[in-house]
Amino acid sequence: MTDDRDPKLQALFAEAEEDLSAGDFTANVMNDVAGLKRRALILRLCAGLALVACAWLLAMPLQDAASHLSQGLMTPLIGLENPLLAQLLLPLNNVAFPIALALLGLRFIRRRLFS
Amino acid sequence: MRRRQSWIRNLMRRCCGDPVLADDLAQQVFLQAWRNIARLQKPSSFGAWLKRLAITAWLQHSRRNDALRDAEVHEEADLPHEGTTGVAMDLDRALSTLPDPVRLCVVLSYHERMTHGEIAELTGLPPGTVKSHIRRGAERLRQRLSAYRQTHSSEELS
Repeated sequence: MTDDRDPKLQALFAEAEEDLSAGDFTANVMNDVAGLKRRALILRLCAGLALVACAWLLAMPLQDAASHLSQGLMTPLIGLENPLLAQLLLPLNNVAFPIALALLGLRFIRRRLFS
Repeated sequence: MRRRQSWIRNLMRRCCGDPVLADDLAQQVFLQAWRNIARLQKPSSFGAWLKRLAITAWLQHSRRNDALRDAEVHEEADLPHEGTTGVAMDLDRALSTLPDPVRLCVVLSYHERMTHGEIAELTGLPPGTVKSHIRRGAERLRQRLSAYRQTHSSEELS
């Protein structure tokens, strides 16, 4: 592919190139940039305030939910008579254990299938 | 920005032919650059990146105006007036008679001195189309700016 250009046309383009003064143009761009910075700052402040408000409003319900969840996950699957054995087997004998196993199994299968 | 503003504004003027619109678009380009400067991986390629932003801004503007689909050659309202309006104005006036894709290819070739391959890559047009756009556009400009060409020829002879 040749990229030949008409030299006279090329000269006209070069001649038409003006050295435009930066003054007003730069000032306008800087004004817009300052506006964008202000808007970004206001957005960040609003987001921060919303986050704080949400944390304040939801802290107690979330804490309750987490507490219920951890209690539920630690519920023994099989009731054992011997308290010592029950304590020893508690890390395996709870709701969380089969869930963790299932998740690990799914991750293993996904890696085998897709990697 | 001070260093590059004249180049980008001239490029946009050649593309759109309207100095006010060109400055608006150039302003958008610098704002876009300010927003996305973190994405620029090689600081040395800032110029090429800025040019890409400028062309994208122009293409988006053209698409908004549904102009890229218009493949017909525009009719010129009036002929260039050499000496009274300046080379830049006459050139812009002549360029404004070209359909947008043709004008863009010509500007990138003659103003930016880009190769056909680079233009094809930047605009997404097939290389053959770029070549024919430049050939057609240059021919049309030669006709429109014949007075300048004659002046140049006589200057060369003298």
